[in-house]
Amino acid sequence: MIELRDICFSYPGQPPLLQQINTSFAEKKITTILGPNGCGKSTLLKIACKLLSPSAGTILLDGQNIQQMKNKALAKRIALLSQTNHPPEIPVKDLVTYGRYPHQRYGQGLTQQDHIIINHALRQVKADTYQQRMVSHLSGGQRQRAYIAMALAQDTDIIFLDEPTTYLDINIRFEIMDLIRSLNQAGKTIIMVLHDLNLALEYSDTIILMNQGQIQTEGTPQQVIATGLLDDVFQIKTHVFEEDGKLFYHFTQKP
Amino acid sequence: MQDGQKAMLTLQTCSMSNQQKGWLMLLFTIALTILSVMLGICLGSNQVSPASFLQAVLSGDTSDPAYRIVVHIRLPRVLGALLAGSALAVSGAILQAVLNNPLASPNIIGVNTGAGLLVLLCSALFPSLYYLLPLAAFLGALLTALLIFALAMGNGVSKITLVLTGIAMSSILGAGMNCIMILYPDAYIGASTFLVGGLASVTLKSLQFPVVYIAVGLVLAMLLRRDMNIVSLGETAARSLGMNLTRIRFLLIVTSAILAGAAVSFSGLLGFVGLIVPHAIRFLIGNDNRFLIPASAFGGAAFVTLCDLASRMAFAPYELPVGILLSFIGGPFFIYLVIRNRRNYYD
Repeated sequence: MIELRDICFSYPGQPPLLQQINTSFAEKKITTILGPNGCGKSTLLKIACKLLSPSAGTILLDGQNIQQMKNKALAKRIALLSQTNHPPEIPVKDLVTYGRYPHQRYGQGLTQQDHIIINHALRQVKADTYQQRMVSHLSGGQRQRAYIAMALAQDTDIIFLDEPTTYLDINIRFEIMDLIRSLNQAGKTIIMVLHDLNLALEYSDTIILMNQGQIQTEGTPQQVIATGLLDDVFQIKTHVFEEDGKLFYHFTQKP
Repeated sequence: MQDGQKAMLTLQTCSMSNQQKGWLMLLFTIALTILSVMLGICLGSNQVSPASFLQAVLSGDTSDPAYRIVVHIRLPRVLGALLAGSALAVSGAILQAVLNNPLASPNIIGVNTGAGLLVLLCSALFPSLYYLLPLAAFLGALLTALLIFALAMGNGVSKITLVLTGIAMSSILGAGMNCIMILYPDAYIGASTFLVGGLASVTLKSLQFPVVYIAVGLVLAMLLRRDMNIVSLGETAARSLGMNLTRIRFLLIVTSAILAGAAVSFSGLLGFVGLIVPHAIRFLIGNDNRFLIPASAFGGAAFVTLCDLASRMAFAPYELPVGILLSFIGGPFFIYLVIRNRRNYYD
């Protein structure tokens, strides 16, 4: 489990971006951080996986302070899938192979175990059929699958995802979210930042709602909606429908 | 079509995996290096056949013209070309990866000129301490590379801005070199050849220290090949894979400076090798540094050796410094790269 205690963060000469954040990400669940642009959700994600250092506070991974963990040791526990505007000019298989980096020693090539894990990751996201194609030549959905395969090759129990569905067509968004859910069902802890409220409410076990650098509320999607804070933070009105036992959400502008 | 061209086209278009292409390219560049060494030693104003050279060596007759031409004139020159070519090509490949900029190469971003400035300064102030030249060149190259790197890491610096900054840096450092040459006219014998880059004055003695630097640089580059692949994924991805990015980038820049500095210390400001060779190899086998680095080392060695041979032979009995030929090839190639990718370079 990851615990964040009293996390504060500000860029030099800027007002505080995060203030006294206290929360935790439950094991083997899907936790989504929601909030309007600039509320600090991506910053929080980066702090939680040691890409940024907090101005104050500690992050504990199973009770161990991640600031004191070696980078490679942490990379064996946490994988991050971030947004990229410049996909590399390399084949998909090479990209996935790079996921084994934290597990390799200097001068050591890929072991048979590495090859098994890489091929399994490619098959798991159904990227094995285009593994020789260049990452830069893929469609948005295929590219996202390739990056998810790299995160899987990293063989961690926790995966962070920063806006995994941005720039994707609506049908591909569902495909990627289904894939993320299947990874969670296979035992991965998923922590992500999403813009899309519908996807966040449909696919998450826990929602952390942020605004202006602070956590407003957290809980199951239904609990968060019941507080009314989702409507306040996004200046919307949330409508919930039930059909065949499943909840659907519709958002309109706040009157 | 020549056999060589056919082989290149086959390599580019066939459906081999990138790893197979990598191995094939490595074998090809090794073979090309061996061929270039044989041609570089045998061809010239006096043709020396391998048989006549071997005969002279076996007979122990050091006064044999074939022996003297090969050992005292051609061998140092070919060795110098091999060392300078491999060092500059690998230095360029490293800079392109660490700056994430395909236009980066030691001469374009000012690293060679930084090395040249300190070489001239060292020659002017400590003329008897010739063994300090590679060290001075390394320091000049390192300081320039670190300065460029610091600029590249600043927010909003596009690829083309970085190149323009490098050109401005070259101009400033070049002005410093001119000052030294005016104030210390005896600072560097053959300074004009040094400025364009040439191998005519290379001796075995002048290579004894650079060869150590280049060997260290090439070994470091080979050890860091996998890290270079990770660096090229971008900062966030590299760090999330557990890389200590600051340390690796610094190591890569030091390696690049060792190689460029050592090459400049004896061959002068040879331009464009670090641009042409890695690009040509990348075009054929892709971006995997596990193959790109060794193939660039051999490809660079063969390229400079063959260019030096051409510059010796083209206007015989006159001889062009090889740097002039490299500029004639490299300049248009650089313009071609800028035009082909002009949109990407403003990001």
